[in-house]
Amino acid sequence: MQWYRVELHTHTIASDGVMDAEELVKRAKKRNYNAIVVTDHNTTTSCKTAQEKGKKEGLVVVPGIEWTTFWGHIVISGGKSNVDWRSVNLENIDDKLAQARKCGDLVTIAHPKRPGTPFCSECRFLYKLNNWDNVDAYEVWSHYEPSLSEDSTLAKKEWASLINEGHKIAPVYGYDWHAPDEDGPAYAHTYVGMEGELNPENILQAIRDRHTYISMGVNIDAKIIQDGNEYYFGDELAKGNANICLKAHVSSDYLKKFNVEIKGLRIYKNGKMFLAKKWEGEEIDIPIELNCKNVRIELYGAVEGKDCDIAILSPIYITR
Amino acid sequence: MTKIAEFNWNITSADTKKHLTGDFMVDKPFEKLIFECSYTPKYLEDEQKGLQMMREALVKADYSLAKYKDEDLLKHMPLANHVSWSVDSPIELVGTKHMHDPNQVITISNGQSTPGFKHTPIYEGRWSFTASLNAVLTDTLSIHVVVMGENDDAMV
Repeated sequence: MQWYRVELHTHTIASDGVMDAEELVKRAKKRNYNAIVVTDHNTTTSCKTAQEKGKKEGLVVVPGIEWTTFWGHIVISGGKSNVDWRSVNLENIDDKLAQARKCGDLVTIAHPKRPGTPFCSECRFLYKLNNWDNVDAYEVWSHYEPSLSEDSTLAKKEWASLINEGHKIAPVYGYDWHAPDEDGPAYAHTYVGMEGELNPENILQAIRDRHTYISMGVNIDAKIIQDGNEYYFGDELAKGNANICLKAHVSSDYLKKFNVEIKGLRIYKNGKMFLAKKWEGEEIDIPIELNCKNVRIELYGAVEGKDCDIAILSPIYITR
Repeated sequence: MTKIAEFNWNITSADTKKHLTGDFMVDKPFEKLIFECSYTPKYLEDEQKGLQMMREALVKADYSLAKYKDEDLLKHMPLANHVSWSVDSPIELVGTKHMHDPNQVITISNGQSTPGFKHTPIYEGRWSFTASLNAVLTDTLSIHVVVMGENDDAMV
């Protein structure tokens, strides 16, 4: 499995961003992204130019849109569906999300726990979904210093509740990138894992398969070994014994720019802490009995001297 | 430049989260359509009302209100109204402009549309313009839109 840095939530001058498509692509390359999704508010007109510039710069660009509706923002990635954002409302939201997915697009709930109006128009997700199976991913972290912000803390809580209810939803980070922010506060990344070539379809499929983790520049290679078979976080496993093998190190750019430090990890079974362990090296091997419905791992540490969570892995689901 | 239509909408805060649509006919050939869109006021100037709105929003969103002192909240002032604009041709949604400037000029043509809008010929037939009321924080809000048609030779 190869892991790639992807930014899933970006804006250009087609909506309220300040960068044109070319500048967005160049700055994404400078930040060592392997891919971005262009998700302007209610328009896709920058996507084609961004894809063309991306080809020249060696950056994969996925077309997308952020439905910026009156009751919340939803990132639709893939560029295949053609839903008129104005038609999305409290009554038909489940059908509209299903429609987008049926066309092959990926559905992500954007910054669900921001306070919304009057701070940021309709940024808070107010929809009551009847069917969370129409949601592929959830911005557990958003924007600056995500693991320290109140909105991301609340978002993580809701996402963890959804996982415990049995929904299978990939954790993602959304920078919601509007301006260059070269010297801005610390931001995170979504890492997406795949076996095949890095291209838009494989990125979307990897997120559908929940092969994601979000982190403050910590590179993680995690596997679960059960009965001699190798699984990844996000996968479905059988009850029984397994071993978690996890390697992690802070990438050099994050070490330099944000002084990120790994201090330990926590393992949760069904949302309850099962094990907390100090970080003692780059690699750990933990035997675990899979006698629960899900297992989650978080890494904690410090960013610019502030203690906080520094990575959240996609859960494993025990379904057999 | 030929004036094709003009829309004036006077609304109240009760209208927030509504779409206001005005139709107009393009009944002769144009190279481009130009929309001059504006709304006023942009900002809620009443500090006390703004503070109250922010506190209520934080409570509704399950935030710890105690963490937010008035001096922190005041940094968000003045709070702003927000209206976004969409244009539909006789065939399709041409685009939406989601920006925060209350004064916008949108151009639509087959080669040089404003970012956010597709390039499209100016088809003859029924077009529409929509003002989407994302946030109306002030008691009242006035929206003014003028639609004009233009041919390139008229600019020479």
